[in-house]
Amino acid sequence: MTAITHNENRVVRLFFYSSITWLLIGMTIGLILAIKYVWPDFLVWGEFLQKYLSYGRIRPAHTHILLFGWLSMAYAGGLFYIIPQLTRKSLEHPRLAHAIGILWNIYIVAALVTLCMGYTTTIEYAEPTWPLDVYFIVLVAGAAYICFKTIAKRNESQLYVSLWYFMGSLIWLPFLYIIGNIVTYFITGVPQALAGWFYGHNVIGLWFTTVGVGFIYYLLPLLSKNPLYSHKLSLIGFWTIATFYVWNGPHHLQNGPIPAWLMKAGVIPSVLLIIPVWTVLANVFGTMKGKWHRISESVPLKFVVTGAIFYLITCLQGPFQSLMQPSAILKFTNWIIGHAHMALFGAFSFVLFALFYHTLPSLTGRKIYSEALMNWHFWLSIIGFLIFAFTTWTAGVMQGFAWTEGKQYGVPFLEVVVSLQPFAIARAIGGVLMFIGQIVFAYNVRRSIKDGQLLSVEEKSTSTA
Amino acid sequence: MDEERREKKEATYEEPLEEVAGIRMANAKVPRFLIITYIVLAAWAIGYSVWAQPVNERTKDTTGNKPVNGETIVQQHCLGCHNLSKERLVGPGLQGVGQRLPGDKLTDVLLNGRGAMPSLPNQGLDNEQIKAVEKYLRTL
Repeated sequence: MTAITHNENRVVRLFFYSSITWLLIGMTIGLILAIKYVWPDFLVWGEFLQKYLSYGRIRPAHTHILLFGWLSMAYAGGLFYIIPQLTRKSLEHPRLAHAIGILWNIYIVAALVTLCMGYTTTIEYAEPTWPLDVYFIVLVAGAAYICFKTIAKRNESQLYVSLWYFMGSLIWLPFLYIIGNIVTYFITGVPQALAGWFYGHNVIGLWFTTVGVGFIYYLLPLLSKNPLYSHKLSLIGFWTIATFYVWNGPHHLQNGPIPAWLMKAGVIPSVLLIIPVWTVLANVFGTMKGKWHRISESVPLKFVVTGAIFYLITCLQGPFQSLMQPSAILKFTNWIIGHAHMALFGAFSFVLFALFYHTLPSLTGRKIYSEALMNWHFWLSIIGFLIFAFTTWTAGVMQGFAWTEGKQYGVPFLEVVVSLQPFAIARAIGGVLMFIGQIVFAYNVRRSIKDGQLLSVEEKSTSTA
Repeated sequence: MDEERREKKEATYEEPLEEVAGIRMANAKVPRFLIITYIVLAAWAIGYSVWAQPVNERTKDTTGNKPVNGETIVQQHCLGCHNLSKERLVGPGLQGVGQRLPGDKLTDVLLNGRGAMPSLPNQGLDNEQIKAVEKYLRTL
């Protein structure tokens, strides 16, 4: 494979290191939120904190920083690293890419500050106000331009399946962002809610999922040292997700004030998503055939396979809760929080951890500082996440059935809130474990950059392959 | 002869590995369980698009609505201790209770209980049901 150039290296490292910083900041806010569930007066000492760290303001700050600071910056870094590898062509406009990285960080800071000051559009995942949206769309379009130009000038005639996923995602993201953030400014009522959820779900499905699946397709054959099981399956998976995903938005307004045909048009493609997901997973398991023992030897492979399995579970849960009856019980409960974290933390953050551990040696010329810390990162993340997820799911089912029995307001509602206290505590404990895991991750990366063992010349030539 | 045939068969089924940018790709056929999944889901999708009905209220989704009729609730929850007439049973008779406990006083007794009488929320009644009970009692 092509060796990475100095300029590319600078760009990818800027994106990767920034994203780790945002991961820690975003998860700190998440932890504050989890503690506020147990102890609502936490951090409301004095008027200043009470105002700027109130739940309603930092909750969107938490989601926005982790979606666009951590995941999306890491994704952009990953695209700038993998696309040159798969096209055998150095990245076009590396200076522009570097500038985008710096401006992207400024965007996240600005979004964090304005959200804490209380400026919000109230549309989920699209909370920052329109000047910031326009600014961010320009950044995303710039990143997409760089990627497409590199692919257009490629030296490898065939496009590997990951590139299909990347190109699709890079077209979809700017348009989705415009619909969710700009179009929703000009419409009101039910159409606004529909446009908002069109964006809200598709930014997960046509950006976080599809780029993440592209990363899985890239990492798996390299880490397992097996050929990709089936090219045919990867094409079926790509085209079916591209066909079905865009329809998913209306399932968020299930049993709500939208026409029945629109509800069905939201539910059916949500269930049909089982087709691309099982197809991708058949390919993952097929590729792993005969190489499962390698999981015990390679932490990145452990992360990528675990991520793929969480992707499978998320996409069994998702179609189930999109159906009308389960939706009537589960909507607005804690269950949804567990579901959302499984996709974004359990599945795609895990894939990113694998990507980081896999690429860092070739970026820094040094080995990962500590194998033991990598394992700590894995186990703390997965145990913390499982505690978090099972408590939110159980609490959500309890809430949902209590509400259907009429405990929706007044004294009975408060009884439900009080009965969920132990779950809120367990959820915060799970969150603490997840957070400690990420501190271990950041520390390990920091030490690898500074004092990781230098790669020998021989390892350097194979580390990119 | 047999071996030769088998070799020939294997050769036709095994497709060569392609290599793209250093990643090897095989081209396995679509497994049968996936084909069955595709067909089952397609059939389900057609059925669902025709027959599914939205759930209009959360309560409709669970069996047996709770009564919000004040009279029914009083009969089920209160008549163990109270008569509808003026006669005393365990507690005082309910006739004229609206005049004896005017304004917020009746609400207070219903929400918080009094003496041996348990509060209505403790009996598992929700706000709407309690309001209905109060409305009915004031007519007695």
